[in-house]
Amino acid sequence: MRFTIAREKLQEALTSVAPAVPAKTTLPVLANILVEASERGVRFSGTDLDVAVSVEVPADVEMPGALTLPAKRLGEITRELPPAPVKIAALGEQRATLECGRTKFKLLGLPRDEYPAFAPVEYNTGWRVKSSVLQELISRTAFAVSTEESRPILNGVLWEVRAQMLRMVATNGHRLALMESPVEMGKGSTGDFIVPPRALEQVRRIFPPEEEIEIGKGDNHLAFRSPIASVSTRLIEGPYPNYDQVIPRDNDRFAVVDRPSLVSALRRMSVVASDQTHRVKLSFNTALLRFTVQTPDVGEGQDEIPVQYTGDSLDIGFNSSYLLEILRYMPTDEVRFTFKTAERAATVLPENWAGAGKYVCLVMPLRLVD
Amino acid sequence: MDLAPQEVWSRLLECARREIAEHTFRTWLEPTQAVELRGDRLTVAVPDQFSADWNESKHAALLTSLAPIALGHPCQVQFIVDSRARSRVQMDLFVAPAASQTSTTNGAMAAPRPLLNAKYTLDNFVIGKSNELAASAALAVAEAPGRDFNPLFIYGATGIGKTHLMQAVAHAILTRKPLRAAYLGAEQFTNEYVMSIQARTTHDFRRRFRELDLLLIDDVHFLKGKEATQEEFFHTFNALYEGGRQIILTSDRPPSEIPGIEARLVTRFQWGMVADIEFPDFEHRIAILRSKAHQDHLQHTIPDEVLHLIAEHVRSSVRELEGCIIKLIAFASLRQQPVTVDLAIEALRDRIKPAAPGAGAGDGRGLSITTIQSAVAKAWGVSAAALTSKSRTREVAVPRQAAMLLSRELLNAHLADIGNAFGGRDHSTVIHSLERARYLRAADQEFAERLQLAVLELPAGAA
Repeated sequence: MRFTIAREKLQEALTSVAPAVPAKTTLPVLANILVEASERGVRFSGTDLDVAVSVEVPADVEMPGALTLPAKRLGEITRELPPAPVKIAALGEQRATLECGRTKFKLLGLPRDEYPAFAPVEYNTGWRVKSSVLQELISRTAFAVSTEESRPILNGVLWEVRAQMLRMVATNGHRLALMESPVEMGKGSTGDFIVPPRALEQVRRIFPPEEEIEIGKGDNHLAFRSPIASVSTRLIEGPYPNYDQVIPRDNDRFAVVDRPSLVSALRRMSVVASDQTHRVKLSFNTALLRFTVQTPDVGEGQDEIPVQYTGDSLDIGFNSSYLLEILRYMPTDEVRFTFKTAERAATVLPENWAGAGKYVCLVMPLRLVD
Repeated sequence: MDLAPQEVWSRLLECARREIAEHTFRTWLEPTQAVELRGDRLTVAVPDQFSADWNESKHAALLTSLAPIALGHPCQVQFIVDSRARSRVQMDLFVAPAASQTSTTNGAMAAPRPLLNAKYTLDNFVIGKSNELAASAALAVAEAPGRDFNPLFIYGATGIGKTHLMQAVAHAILTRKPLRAAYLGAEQFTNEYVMSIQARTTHDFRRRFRELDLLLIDDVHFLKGKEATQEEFFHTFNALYEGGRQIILTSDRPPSEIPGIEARLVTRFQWGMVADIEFPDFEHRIAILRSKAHQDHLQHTIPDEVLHLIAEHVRSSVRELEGCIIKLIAFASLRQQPVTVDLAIEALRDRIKPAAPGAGAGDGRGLSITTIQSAVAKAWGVSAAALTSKSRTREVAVPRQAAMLLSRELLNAHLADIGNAFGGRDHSTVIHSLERARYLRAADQEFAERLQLAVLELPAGAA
């Protein structure tokens, strides 16, 4: 294997693949990046066996071949290289030289055969989605996944593919984000996948917004690819909880609030909120939203902002960090809240959103008395 | 003999791990916690309603079927949402909040539905000498609740059918007409009372219990030392009793012997009918096993010898008898073999102590079926080989019966083993021989003397 590649291209490829390389692993070869040179260019791949990422970059390939090189060192070297073409050549099965101007390295790697094969995936679904659509679905929902081990199913994002729509749902049981985008997926298309958020993050990051992404399915795997890059992931097996059942339909108190002023009030209040619960009490009245925090061993705080509110006045407790997170991903300057009681789920919706899809977040209150 | 719920659950899980795909196990069964073991019902807490429903629909049946293998007795697994999750400050989308503040008023209005085990009916209750009295009292109560035997107090050791009988009465009454009935353990009664104090809903609690038509309290001995609960129970009892409502109680001992129960409660327990259930005798055990096999439509697969073998060895409780049957069937289906005596011995080796399989084995004093055979042969002047032969002439049959009797009485050997050691005879032949020998010992002076002679021939210390 011998090829010459632009320093920027090399760096770009390595930054794309690096997040898929596990920081710690019991299988030493996984700490390496698989480098494969062919007539088309050089392909860099990394995996932790759950998520695999690979990108192909143009290069001047003199001799095709493959081997694996340590991801961390290769990345650190590349970052410090001068802006000149980089020449990489294999020395036997598990060593390589790297030359760039007057800089020279000999790196110890591992043979290509030791690198695990990627799970077979077939691109026969016929599903193609514009990257920007997926990017928006992912960024508006994936934040809500659970990180707790007690409910592994909730550690994934539910992705539902339907004939004319894509839907993503994520929740940790306390808050939930759901987004739908109208997309023509082809007649009879249907599929439900529980995808690890790490994989979706790579999908969001690697593909440029305008790219058409092809979706492939394997045995318990899902894959995304464009001509130059691919991400494949193991799926979380499950049934996903019936999220539709928990979306309230009979909420009869409504509030429309200015998002930036709500965010800054919540930020101020959360300074004195309990470190465990982050509890802030919100009191909704006809024109005024009052915030109250009382944390026994810290202190108290109060604030007010204007609100358009209809319904009986309501005192309700929330974890301020859940609210702030939801508000961060709301696409509009004004947001609409709906409530039933202080013990039932509240919904947060974008107000006057120009987007084509549907976006709704749910948040469960905190009890006001311990 | 009772394990902690956590221990029972971890044994079950260990067994289930082999049957369930690893990721499924990790996702659904690992994040669980056993909270309570009541009789044969194990309650396991899960993080949310969704997990509870999923586990209930996908894994409860498997776990229940594994129980006999993992635990040696049947155990029903039931999933509930972790009560701590219900009362957490941060409410959860998939966990219904605890019924404490707003919902209690609705809860008090609804008539409590008793959680009865559908299998515990009168039809399935096998009546024998040991439970005749309790059963006839129960039948009378089922016929006319609140009239003659109120309260009905059933006591006896664990696992011999108290709960079954009590619930059977409730089933019989409730199928005739829908009444407000409650079935709960004394411990649960205590817990609910304590909870009602905490939630300041004792008023609802009282209404709930004092407006019942039928109250079944299991294991009342758990009330011992709980004075406030006893006080509450006392008033509940009076209210129901005066209203002519039927009360049925069970305990592990008679009312007067339960320590730490107030005298006024004890006397009330004795007002109606106090009936005990004893350990079933051999014939009764056989009948129970048959009924159990019949209930599960197993009559064709379990031969009588095996039922006899089990009835022989398992004497401690009905629950254990049932456990043996279930374990045996599970074992047989796992092995895909028909149920035979050998299979039963293997499957139930923890219950059935391997005793004298023919010659050789003894009791450590040089006493074995073989030594008995030779001693008896000597006393009757026949050859030891004749005793194990096919011959049925009187000269050989009588000493053979004598030797069987001694094997049975001195070695406590199993019928099947005795049969094997005497030329592969059937256990029923052995039963007959034993009866015959016992009769002869009582009726025939000469037989009794020879038997005595044979005993003297046995190795020292044996008699």
